[in-house]
Amino acid sequence: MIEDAVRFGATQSLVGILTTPSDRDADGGLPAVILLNSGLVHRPGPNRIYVKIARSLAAMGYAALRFDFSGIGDSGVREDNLPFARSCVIETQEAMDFLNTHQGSNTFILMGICSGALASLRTARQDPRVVGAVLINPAYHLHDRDDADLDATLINRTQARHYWRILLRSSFRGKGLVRALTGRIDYRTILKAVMTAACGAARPQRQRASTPEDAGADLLKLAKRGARVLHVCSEGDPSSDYLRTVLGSRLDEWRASGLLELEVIPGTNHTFMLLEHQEYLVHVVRDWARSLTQHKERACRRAPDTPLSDPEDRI
Amino acid sequence: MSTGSANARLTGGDTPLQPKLPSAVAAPAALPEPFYFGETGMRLFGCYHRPQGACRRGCAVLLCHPLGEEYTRFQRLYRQLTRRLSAAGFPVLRFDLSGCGDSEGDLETASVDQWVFDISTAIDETHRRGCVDQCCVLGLRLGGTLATMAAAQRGDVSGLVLWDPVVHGVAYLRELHEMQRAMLSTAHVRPSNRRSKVLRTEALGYPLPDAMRAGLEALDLTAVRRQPAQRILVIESHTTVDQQGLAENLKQFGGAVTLQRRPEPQSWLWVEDVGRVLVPYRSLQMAVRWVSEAFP
Repeated sequence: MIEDAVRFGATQSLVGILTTPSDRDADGGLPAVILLNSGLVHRPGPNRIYVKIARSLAAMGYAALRFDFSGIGDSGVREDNLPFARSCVIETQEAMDFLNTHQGSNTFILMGICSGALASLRTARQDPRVVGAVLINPAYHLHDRDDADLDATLINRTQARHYWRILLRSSFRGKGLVRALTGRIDYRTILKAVMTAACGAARPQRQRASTPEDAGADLLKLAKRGARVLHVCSEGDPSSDYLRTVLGSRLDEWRASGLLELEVIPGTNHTFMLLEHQEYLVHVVRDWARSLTQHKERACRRAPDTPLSDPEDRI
Repeated sequence: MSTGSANARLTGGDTPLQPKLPSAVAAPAALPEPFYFGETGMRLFGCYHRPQGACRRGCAVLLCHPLGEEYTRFQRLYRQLTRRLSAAGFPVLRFDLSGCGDSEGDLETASVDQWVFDISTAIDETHRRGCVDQCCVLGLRLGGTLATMAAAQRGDVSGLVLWDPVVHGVAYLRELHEMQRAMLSTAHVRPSNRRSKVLRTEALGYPLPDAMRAGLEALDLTAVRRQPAQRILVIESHTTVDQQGLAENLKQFGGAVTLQRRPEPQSWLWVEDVGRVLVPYRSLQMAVRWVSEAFP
């Protein structure tokens, strides 16, 4: 594989590393992969996971670009006052334009951890060039966050569900109980989340611009467009609790129908602090990427009007 | 693996041309220049920042990162250092050691000797890019330790800023071990391997193979037997690491050695949310001021 330092964007101020397969591994028909910053962590990713993912995908024939949004890592700062929610989409699209110009890529897979997942979804829903997204431990990404009331309700319910699951049903429950018994636990935060969630459930709902039922509409739209979205949740992270909270019984229905692809990695936290879990994550991404190419091959062989909802076409 | 760089060839780098990548366009002065350099198969990622403003110093600055998890948490500090030093008129090169950040290789196969060699390669690159004779090397924690070793080997480094350098490898490994133990106790992680194995072979998300452990164990900055630089600043931001002995040892070679104590939180201690780590602003200002005064 080949790694290049690149600079791109409207003002050439975005810095990234482009990993491309060697000629032997290259497959010109594959979408290019773009890895988006996880919070303030710059482009190698938490524990250098993005480097591992990029190199691993390059060995499969994918070109992969990891870059820094403005103000992070080596990238310059923006001269305008755009909010991050908008600038991250614009800059991801600039990354796609760059890959289109210099790699000939027309379709893209976006992936990221935490806020990188959020940026991936935001861009995917706006840009039809995105054919896939891997959302790793995404936080509160499926509902309208401008609705403060709904946002607070869903966050509190998610946290309450998360605390109960960690304490009673997760593989960390022994550790959690020890921490609870020895007082090494933040009771105030837990109590606040549980109480607020309980009060919120009992209070009559006022008319809202959006409802939890609206959440997930982005996923439906993307599925309708033929874009695949994989959720990867660490067992110790609240992201799977959020999915359950916001989607309710639809989570199981959508998983069964293949509409929502979900992989839960047991025994790990938000940033994959153990090497075995980093390897697990890389394998999950590789398997999904492999299924994408198989899916594409099958789609080519299939009659054009065959529906895409055949479970065999999904993980 | 082979590497190339769009920008390296714009600025006279030795990287082979990659026809697919952007054509040569002179970089505006304010933009960083990312590139790869060093030997094929073990190329290092660097980001060069040209001096800004009217002032042009006759000395370039090389920034050496700490290792592992500290590399990530101090990224913002290095960004700030780069911008301030560049604004003060210094050409600045920030780079990643082998197996770290964007450089080639993996930590599993990296070694202390390789890293010392990397820093020496980066010093040469700093001279070449900055077109200056003098080079000041700044390193935080293990970055400072390795920089001292490389500088002592070469004997041509003009200045050295050692920010809370690791003086004894054994103590550093003990510290990593304790933080790994704390992480295993508090974070939502459950190893499928034996806990003792995870404690021995990993450190806060990064591999710690036996060969690297042995190399780190052997580190002892007080055993340096040659003057690493003519001017040296040692920054001690926390009393748990007494740098007095190191400063005394470095003074015996006759150079100008300054020890500055500037109490700051121990930013290198592990916390799960890296976004909560603050940039040690006062120490940063002090380091930039010292370099600016030492190399007017």
